[in-house]
Amino acid sequence: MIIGEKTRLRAIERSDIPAFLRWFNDPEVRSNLTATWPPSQAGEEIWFEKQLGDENRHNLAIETAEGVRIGVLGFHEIDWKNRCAGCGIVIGEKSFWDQGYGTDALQTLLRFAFDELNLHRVFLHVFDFNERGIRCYEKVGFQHEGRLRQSRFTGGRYVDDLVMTVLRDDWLEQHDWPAQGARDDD
Amino acid sequence: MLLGERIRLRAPERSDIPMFVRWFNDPELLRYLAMYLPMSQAAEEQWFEAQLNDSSGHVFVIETSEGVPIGNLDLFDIDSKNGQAGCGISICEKPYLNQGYGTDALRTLLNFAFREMNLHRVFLQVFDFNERAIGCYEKLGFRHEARLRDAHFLEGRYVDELIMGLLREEWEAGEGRGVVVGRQATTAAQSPPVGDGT
Repeated sequence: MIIGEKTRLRAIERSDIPAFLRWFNDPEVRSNLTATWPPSQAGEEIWFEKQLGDENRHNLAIETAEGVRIGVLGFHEIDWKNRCAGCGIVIGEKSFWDQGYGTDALQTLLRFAFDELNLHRVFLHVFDFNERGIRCYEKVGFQHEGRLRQSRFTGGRYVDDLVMTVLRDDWLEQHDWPAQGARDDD
Repeated sequence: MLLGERIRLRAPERSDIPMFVRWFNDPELLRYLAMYLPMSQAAEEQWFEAQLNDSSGHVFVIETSEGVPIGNLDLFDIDSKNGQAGCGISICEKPYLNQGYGTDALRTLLNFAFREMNLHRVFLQVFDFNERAIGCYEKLGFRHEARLRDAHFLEGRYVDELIMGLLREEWEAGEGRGVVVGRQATTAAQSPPVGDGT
């Protein structure tokens, strides 16, 4: 379990699959994702088994401090040689949108990425119309790196995909580290 | 076989494998690619068999009109739903660098991608220090879309990777497809065919 301020991140379990299915079948949630086909229970079960034991991707369930499961986030394509990973987040329970849970969960994930996994760079992709997502990522410290023009077809038109990134050095600057650790040693 | 002006693109064969192993063990070439481990004949044989059944990519050998193999190029991550693919090119026989062969080959591939495969966008990834390649891509009409800061670690430091993209409408409207090769003599050098062993 990785503890944030308003959220905590735990490993996902097979028992989470029905919740994933409900979230990823919700058109409002789906519209911001790259998933095309409606997911099935059977398909999600196969996905779950595949990601188990894959060292290059890790998915974590997001819970509130009270233990309510509200979403999922994780790293995909961790590149250990270049210390770089992509990340993604979904708050599936819409009643928890716009209250800072996603921001807190991502901040918790980034702290883990830089303090524990020793990553150098964490990036994400987001549709340019996903303003809620972009605002959250900017707040967390992601910087805009580029716009992949017309790289996705959805809703009857081609849309742009944005690439946003946090580098370890930027993160450390923002979060006053390792000064804290050094102080503990004194 | 796809015909360019001074080159042609053909499918790779098992008999090309020793040549690929020679090419992709050349340090001067590798520094432009997202490959860093020495490559074995066995690994390359395995890659060859895997790509035969992989419809998400296509690899071509670039030959001069006289039939001399000088490099290869590929489309990868072909995504028909979104009308996208990545491309990568390497001119591996050094005497053929800087003579317009890479530009010709890439132009031939782009015509195929947009006019036969019905793609909407082709992108590529290139290290920011690979100026020769970037110049070639710009000439063909690729636009700069992103700079991935510190995305690769090589030669003791982190380097930036650029993403460049070209849309079909730009290709059809652009100068890139009509550039006269030879006199301007700029060539595609190497861009990282990220994620495959070509």
